Amino acid sequence: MSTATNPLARLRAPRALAEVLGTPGRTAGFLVSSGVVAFFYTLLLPFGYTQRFELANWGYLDAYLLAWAVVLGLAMGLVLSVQAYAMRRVAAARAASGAAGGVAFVASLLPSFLCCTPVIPSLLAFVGVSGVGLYTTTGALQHFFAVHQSEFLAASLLLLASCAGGGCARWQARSASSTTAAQWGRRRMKCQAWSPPAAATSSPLGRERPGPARRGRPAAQPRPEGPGTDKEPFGEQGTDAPATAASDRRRPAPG
Amino acid sequence: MAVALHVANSGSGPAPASGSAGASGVPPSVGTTAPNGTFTTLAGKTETVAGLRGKPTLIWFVTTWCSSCQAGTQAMAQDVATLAADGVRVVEVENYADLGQSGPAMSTFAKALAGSAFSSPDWTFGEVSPALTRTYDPKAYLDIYYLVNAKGKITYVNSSPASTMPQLLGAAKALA
Repeated sequence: MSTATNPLARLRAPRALAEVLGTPGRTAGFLVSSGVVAFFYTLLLPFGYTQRFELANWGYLDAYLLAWAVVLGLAMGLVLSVQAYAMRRVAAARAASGAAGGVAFVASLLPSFLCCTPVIPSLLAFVGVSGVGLYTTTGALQHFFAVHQSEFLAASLLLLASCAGGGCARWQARSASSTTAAQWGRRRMKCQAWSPPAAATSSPLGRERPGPARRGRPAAQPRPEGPGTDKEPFGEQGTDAPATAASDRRRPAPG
Repeated sequence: MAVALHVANSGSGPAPASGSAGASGVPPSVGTTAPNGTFTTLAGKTETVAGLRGKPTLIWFVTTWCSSCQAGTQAMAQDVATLAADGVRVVEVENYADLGQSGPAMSTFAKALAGSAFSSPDWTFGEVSPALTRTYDPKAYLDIYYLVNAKGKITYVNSSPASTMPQLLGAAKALA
């Protein structure tokens, strides 16, 4: 995530999370998705004990695994909420959080699914490893997954947290830069109100506005506010900037 | 909701050719005679698989650092008496050197997980030679068991007793 190294963007992440969970409906969605994911984790994490997905797995659910199920459920629920929010707002953030969330989910389950199952020895036998090599390799691989479960779970949690927090910070940063652009646009409009056209086109303010998204467009004009103006999926055509209320108000009217 | 992932070598599954066990990477199959070999009990006594004939026996190969083996041993502690009632004794042995990885000693593993059933006369713990490990567990599964009848024939093969105990008890009852 490009914003992970940006301290200002990191500071904006909590505000973005508040926006993601800002309505009762979104909060409920987060809680429901977290609960569902945590429920499945309570069945999936003890898979190594029973080799089955069934409620009997709860018999092997100790406090350690239960805690991980809850934490991972909350983290995955947050990522899903961020993802759902991003689907409406920022296409790029959607793609980023979706991929990382999937990787984190797979990583969290690797120890449960690759330790004590016939998967690894069967794969090794399939690719032609045999004899002493099969024993050595199978033991080493399955032992690795068996003893490093905590590290895998921690890594997946870190990945979930980073893709949720990083995703929020990313579009929050873009939202802020979009707002700044809108503020510059307002200033430019004031200039245009009393300056000759030639002076306006050569104004340094014009060059400071974001290039690709504004290139070839007329100067910003006030846009009538109305229902639905802040519900468009993208803030700007051809960019993935969010459609903040500020940027929407300053966007030129269609046509 | 019950999706299983087993070794799946039950009696109804495809049976490898008889006599090809171990050496060619194929585990002994249902209907064949259990290959002979030696194992050492925790008491230090050396015994043979052939010497187990005369009484139905469950020969179970485990790896002590394997979570399904630990859970299976706990499950076995609950049902060893049921198996004994059907005339079946249990011989639980550690794969040679825990498949080359460090794990708890078999004695520690057994005492901790079998509990009071550790001292049951129908449950023997031990360690096996490299040859016997390769013969019965050629694919290096962490956990695999064979139910052998009184004549030394294999009647049922599977793994993870924690999840396959009902099938195992059914197979044992069929021997009675």
